[in-house]
Amino acid sequence: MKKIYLITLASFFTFLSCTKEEFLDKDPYNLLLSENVVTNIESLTSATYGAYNNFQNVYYNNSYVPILGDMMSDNVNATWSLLGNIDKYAPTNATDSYVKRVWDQIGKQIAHTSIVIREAEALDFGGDQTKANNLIGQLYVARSLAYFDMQKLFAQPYNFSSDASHLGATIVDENIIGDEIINPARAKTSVVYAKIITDIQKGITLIGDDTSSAYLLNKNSAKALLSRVYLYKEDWTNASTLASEVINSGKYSLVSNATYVASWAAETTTESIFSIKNTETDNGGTSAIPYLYGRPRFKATPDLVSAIDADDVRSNLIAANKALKYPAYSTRDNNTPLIRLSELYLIQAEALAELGGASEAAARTALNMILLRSNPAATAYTESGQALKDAIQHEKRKELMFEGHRLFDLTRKKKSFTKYSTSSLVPITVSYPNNYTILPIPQAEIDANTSISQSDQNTGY
Amino acid sequence: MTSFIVIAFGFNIQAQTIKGKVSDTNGVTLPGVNVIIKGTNNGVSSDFSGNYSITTSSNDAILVFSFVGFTTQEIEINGQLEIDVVLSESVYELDAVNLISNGYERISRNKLTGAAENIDKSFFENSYKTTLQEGLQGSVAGLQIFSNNNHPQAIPEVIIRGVGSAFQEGVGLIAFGSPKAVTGNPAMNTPGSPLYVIDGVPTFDGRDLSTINGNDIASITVLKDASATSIYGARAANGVIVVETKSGKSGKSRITYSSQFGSSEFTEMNGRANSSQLKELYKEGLINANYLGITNDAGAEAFVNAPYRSNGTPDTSNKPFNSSQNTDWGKELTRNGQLSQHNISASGGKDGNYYYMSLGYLKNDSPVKEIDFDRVNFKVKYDTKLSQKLNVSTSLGFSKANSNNHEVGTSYYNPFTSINRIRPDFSIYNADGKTYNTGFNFAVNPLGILTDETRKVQTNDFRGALNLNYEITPGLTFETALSGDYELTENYDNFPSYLGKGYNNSRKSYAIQKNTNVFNWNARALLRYITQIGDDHNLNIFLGSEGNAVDVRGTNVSVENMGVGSETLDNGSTIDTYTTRNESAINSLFLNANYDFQEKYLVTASLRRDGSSRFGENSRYGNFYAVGFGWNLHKEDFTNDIEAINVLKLRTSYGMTGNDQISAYGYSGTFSTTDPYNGWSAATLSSAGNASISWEENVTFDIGFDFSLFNNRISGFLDYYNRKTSKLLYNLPTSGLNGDNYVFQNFGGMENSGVELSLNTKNIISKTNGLEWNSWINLSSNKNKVTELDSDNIISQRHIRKIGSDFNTLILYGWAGVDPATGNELYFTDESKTETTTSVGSAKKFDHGKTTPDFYGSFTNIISYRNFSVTAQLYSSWGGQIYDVNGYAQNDNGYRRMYDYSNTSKYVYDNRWQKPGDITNVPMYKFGNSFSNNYSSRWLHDGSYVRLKKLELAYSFPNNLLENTFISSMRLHVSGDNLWTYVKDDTLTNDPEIGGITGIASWDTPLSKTFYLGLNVSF
Repeated sequence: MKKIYLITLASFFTFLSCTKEEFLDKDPYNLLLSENVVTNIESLTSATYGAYNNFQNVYYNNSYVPILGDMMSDNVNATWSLLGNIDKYAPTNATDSYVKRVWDQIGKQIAHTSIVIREAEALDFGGDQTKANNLIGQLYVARSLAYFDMQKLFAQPYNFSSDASHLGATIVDENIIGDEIINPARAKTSVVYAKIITDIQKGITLIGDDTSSAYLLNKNSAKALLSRVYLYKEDWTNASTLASEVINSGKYSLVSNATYVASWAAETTTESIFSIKNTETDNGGTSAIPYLYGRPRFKATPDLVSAIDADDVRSNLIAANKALKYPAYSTRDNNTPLIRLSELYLIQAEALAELGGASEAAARTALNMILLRSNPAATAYTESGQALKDAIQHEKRKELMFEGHRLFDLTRKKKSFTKYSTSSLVPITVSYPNNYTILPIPQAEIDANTSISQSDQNTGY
Repeated sequence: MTSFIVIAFGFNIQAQTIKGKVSDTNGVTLPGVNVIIKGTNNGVSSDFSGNYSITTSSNDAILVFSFVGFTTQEIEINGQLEIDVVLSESVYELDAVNLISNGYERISRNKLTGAAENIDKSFFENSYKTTLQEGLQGSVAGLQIFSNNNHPQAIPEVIIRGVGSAFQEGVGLIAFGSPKAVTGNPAMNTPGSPLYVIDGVPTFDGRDLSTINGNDIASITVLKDASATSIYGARAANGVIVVETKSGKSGKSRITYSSQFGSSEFTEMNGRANSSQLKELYKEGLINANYLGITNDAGAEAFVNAPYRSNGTPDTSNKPFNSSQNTDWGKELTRNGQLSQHNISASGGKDGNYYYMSLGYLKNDSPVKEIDFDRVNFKVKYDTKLSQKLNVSTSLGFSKANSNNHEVGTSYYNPFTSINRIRPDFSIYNADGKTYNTGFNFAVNPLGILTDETRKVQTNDFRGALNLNYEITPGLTFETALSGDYELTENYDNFPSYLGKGYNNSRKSYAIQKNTNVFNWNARALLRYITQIGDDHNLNIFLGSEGNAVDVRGTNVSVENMGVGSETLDNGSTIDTYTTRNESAINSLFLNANYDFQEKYLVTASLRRDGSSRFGENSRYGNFYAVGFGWNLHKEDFTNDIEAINVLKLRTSYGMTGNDQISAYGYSGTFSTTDPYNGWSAATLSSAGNASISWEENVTFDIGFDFSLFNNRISGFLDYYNRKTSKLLYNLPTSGLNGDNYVFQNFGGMENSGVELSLNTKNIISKTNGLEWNSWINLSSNKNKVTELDSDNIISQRHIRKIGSDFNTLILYGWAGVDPATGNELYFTDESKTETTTSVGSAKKFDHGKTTPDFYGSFTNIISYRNFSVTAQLYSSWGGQIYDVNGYAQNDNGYRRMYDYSNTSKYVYDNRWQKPGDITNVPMYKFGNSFSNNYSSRWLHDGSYVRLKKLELAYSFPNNLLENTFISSMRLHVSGDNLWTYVKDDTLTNDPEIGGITGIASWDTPLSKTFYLGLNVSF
């Protein structure tokens, strides 16, 4: 009888031990839990490529972010009230769903990169450490770019206050993000810029210099992006130095006049430094940038049209009612250039022009590279001083139209401009400083984030 | 001394032995029937052949025969020595000896300390219900069921004792309005859904219950309070419904056949304007708007017949009115529904070997054309004794269901959305009379999409169990239970290129095949010890462990350009493929003890420790407990003298249960690997995590009485409960910097308290098979309130969550009616309702009360005379509100001009403001008007209603008629479901059940009336 008791009890407790801890460790099949996102070099590679997917989203670089940079400026007007009050320069409803999606998508990129950087830095990759560093470096640069985009869209430019103490982007707690719910506060603009610069510099030390794919970040593209950040920070020396380094790297060359228009249909060109790859399966449907510029939901303002000479090849990028920089209207799979060589010439030109004096000649040379490439028949710029600075912005406006830069160039240069609102083309004068050249912090963010109160909302919203 | 007394008084008190046989109405002998001498502890049980023998010393003693599932019968001896008894199966009996099964043990009703009830068989057996849940409405107090879509495959929403949770996996976010809006899937869970345990397999998915054949079910038990549910620990917070299927019974083989067939009818409550009415409205609208200077009938007539723009060119967005056509789109979509059901089962066995097998077939051709459902069920169960000490029970069931569906929700691909919009002067067919007219409404011809688009669902469900029971020593048993459910669902959608979805997919046909398989298994081992210490102390303890795992896998393939009429994916070009998988598991240890003293004083306690894979490593385990006390007052000496009391029990319980129903991996951030970057495998952040999320806690207090009075003429239960939910699992908005819009958090709390009453009265009784009248009432009143929010009020669409208010409280603009002078809409500027405005923009939204009803319940009467009986069941839900989210579009006042989809309701036609002084609630019809605001109380309705759920007339053939046939019993019945409904608010154009738990009603197939004939025969 005792035996039976023992057997029964033994089998009972064997059964108990079957249902122990491992039984509850379930891993998803086509998902990775955050804790498992980086386990080796392969998974780090996937997680790094994932960051590019975040850029590729229609609420980010594949549509809304570049569109906002032009649509909120004097370059583009909406033909359709897709972005409602933003387009009208009326106080945008802070509950606008598009604003929220843009904020969230940039936030997601910051979260993604921060989680992956933390997990990767905690791991020893052994013989793959160099490869790992290249990837971690890309993540640092990607995160900086996201902070920079949030700063540009949701905060006044660096020079808005004399010490850049006005509210900027939010900075996350990198130690707990992904595990615990975070409520990041808005940091001072100076702090945000310091963070951006530190991160890109860290990225530059880690990242490799393989330039074989323009779809991935590398040392050159990191430097190119940093030169843009310095330009916005009005650190002319560093901006110019870094721009020159990339120009002189010998990896890139300007697209010729003859191939300029066609190059916009190409995947990448000789001047592509960093582009976001977009395939037909990735395409954002009726929210994709080729659709919105081709449909058209957004088109060039009369002001922009008249700024481009008829014999300038760039005039061919504006057809009646269409902006042709993203011509794949039906497949909607144009890649989005995030930085290309032409911009670096313009950064160089601007930085040198600002440094003034002896640098002006070099500034004019760089500027004329861009002008004469597009219109060999044009008269080269000979201006100096403020006239040169204005000419650089005029040229930049034409060269980078529809790429999402115009608004920020206007505001950091403290320029007033004329905005054309939806279809009716009623001109609105936007004088600097203006509350509505930046977006509101989404109301949902203020409601959900315990560290952002209503008083942290951008003025005027 | 003793013998002296016996001799002395022998004549009067001589012990006599009464013998007899107990059988059921079909002549099957019943073993194990309790036979006691009334008022004593003297009792025996009938043996395997149904024979009993009991000794009494009293000539006028009364024998009480009681058996589970049968009506207790009392017989006066009156000197008889042989008494054969026929027990009839209990209908609606609140029987004192009822056994309540919680899936771990069976407890007799008089030893129960918790609130638990068995649902009477009549709610699921021999009635025609496509889904089991639909039939259970009104069955027991505290159980609330909404058939919010009458699609044959739709799963009604079920909650027990109010909304206790904010979120349920499968629904998405209740915070964002109607759960239906989230996925558009007619089959899904509801927020705060109870746990279903079907033959040992736990699930929250109502679909699992709907695949069961009601005729195979032995019992459905609703566990309501902590004492009853706590054995399910982490998943018991919102109640538990335990379903056990039939086993064979001892006795000769018994074959039963039952069948129902009948028809169903579409109860369309909402009317649309017909062709001439709409034309009249158009013309009136043009004049009211002074559109393009139109001021008179002639001008309006000219425009309606040939709409033009201000520059004189034809206005192509407004098609010329075709006065000669009048299509009743609603009527075109409907037909007479056909219902049929056949069921055959065989059962029997002896000496510890029992079998049950059944085959069922159900078909429902719904009153909506092309929409149908059929299901085959097959089941075998075999119980055997492998040795004196080892019992084995095995069962295997299979069901296969097919359905043809239509789109649901507010999209115009839902034919029931489109019929309310499409102009009646459009024809269904082209001039050839055969091909569908697709020249309107984005080529969504509602009849065309019903007939030519395909939305098929096939579900194959395999369910099995293997249970062992080994008696180690008398009283001590070791039990294992292994059970599983494997379900394969295949969805196949096919959209041709020439209309509807295909047309709008760049005129390309496409098809989607989605296969989902769910494997849910449960394994349990337990040691049980039952003992009696002395004569007075009864103890019953069990201790065990359990594991449950669910694995869900899906494959989805979409193709396009399949070729005309293709029913497969083969010839199409692939446009998308993906797979999904998620797993979850729970493991548990539990200890349960029941103690009673002389069956008078009862104490029960249970303790359970659960670990759930849905939570992170540090917050994975939770402890749950309950204690219950009962006092059988009727067993006390001081009540012995009170003849009126047959049963009087006081019971109370307190305990904590939990809820872990966040989505699988909901605690963790996740990265999706489905989207490559430039063809390279990429992992992209897809959801944010909250490693500290843990159980939702539900603390329930319950106090109740069970009573049976005046010779059991009045019996019932009365309960008061209070359940407090804290640390609600809430998918809350979070800072976008987390990488996700929503993250699961333990947030806030709410409270449900209420009173439940179940009452059975035997109004007229008869010993001679004469007139009998029985009534059953159950009434539930639940009050919900939010008790804690960590932040300000939460407003999500039309709901506001604020402390002190019902979870389903609405916040809306206040509708102030129509200005009699101008015919314009008026809104109150704020809650003071003192000032009105014509512009919603200058009004403030305010609290408009709850959608939850004040009470709900049912009232059933059965009147029988000889072999005839009539059953009538009324169900009512009273005091709740319904918000009709489509009201604004259904009652358009000219916003949609003469567009393809510009029809409006007949209500608008009948009631619109026409001239100054008109008092009405429908504004002026005006061409190019704006839509009425969809967040205003204009679309808020009183949801109170009373419905005749069931009316049945039955005839049982008398035994003497069947005596010389091979038939042992036969019953015929005629039944009608939902034949009559009283809706308090006559402006509500939807069925009142359509609002569901949240009270937000969308356009859906309304409930149908059914009418059928039924036959049951046993051999």
